[in-house]
Amino acid sequence: MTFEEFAATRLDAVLRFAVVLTNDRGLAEDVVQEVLIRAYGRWAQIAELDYPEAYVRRMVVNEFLSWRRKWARYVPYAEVEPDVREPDQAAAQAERSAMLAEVGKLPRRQRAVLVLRYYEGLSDAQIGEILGCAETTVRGYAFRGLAALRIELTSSAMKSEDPT
Amino acid sequence: MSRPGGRRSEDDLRAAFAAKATQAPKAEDVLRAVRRATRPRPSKLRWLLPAVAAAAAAPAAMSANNGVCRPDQVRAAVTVRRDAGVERATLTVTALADCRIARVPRVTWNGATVGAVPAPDAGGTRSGSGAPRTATADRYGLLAAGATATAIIAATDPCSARAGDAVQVDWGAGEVELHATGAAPRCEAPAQPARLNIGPFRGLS
Repeated sequence: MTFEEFAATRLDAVLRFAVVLTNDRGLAEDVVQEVLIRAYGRWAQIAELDYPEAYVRRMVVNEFLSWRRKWARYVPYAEVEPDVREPDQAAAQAERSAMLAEVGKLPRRQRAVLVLRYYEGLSDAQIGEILGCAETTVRGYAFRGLAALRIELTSSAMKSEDPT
Repeated sequence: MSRPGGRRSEDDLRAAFAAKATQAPKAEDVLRAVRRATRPRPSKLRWLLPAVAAAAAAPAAMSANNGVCRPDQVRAAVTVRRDAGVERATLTVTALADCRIARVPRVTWNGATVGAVPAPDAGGTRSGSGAPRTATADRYGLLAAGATATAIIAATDPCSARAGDAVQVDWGAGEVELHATGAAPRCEAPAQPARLNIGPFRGLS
């Protein structure tokens, strides 16, 4: 797969993942852009991997987690979503926005775990591999993140999980 | 959807993430920026190359004219002073780059040829200055960048050299016209035809 083929077929998905991960469209754009510039430089090696897209997503996560040093020049702004909702969806939309705002306040590693688990559908083992930590550590991040969001667990495994 | 008491479900979180994903920027916008950033830029070498070429050509140019100082490679001046009633002028040449000049330059003073005292280690006649007439290598000396060579022009008669006189100097690169300067006392005697002799440059290697 060439870089151009990857961009044409998979970049949209990577961007969607990035915007969920960062909770910010502008930051997602910056992060993915940085990642792609680096990936472009060594695409020959990346293309030889079994799953180039997974590797790029991992780069996105790492870039997001290391973005702290760049916050100084990043001016936060309030994202205003277009008000296209139907009246009966207003409550759900408001609740969703509130939840996303709370997700945005979580520590980045907790946020990354929740996105990788609930948006990407990855297992804790896979998440641990991406973040470079143990599976139990991943569950700990998830537990604390979900607790902060007041999310009621449906998974029995998670219900019994208490990293503390 | 949130549960009573403010509790939420994992599905609520999935739905929120899915909704957020719809706000993703367009791939084409990001790609455009990436292409701009990864586009091969004009190499800085592009600006360096002419300088390198010029530097490489410099030795060739130097050899083409035997490395003789071009007028733009030196600062030259003639100063006159009166010494025991007779004028003495000093020709000063300061190099801006390494180059060579004749050990004894050819000089005319107000149109009159200045006699040359040959350099001790170089042959030649005393019939007049004129280093280029003999092109042997030892007729030229190297003047390093920043170094100054001086040659004394001595008059045999008073009032032969005055400030303001036109002096043509040829150290091997063609005639350069200078005007003598100096705080020489005003010469009371009528101007004499120049009867001057120039010695070899000092300060050459």
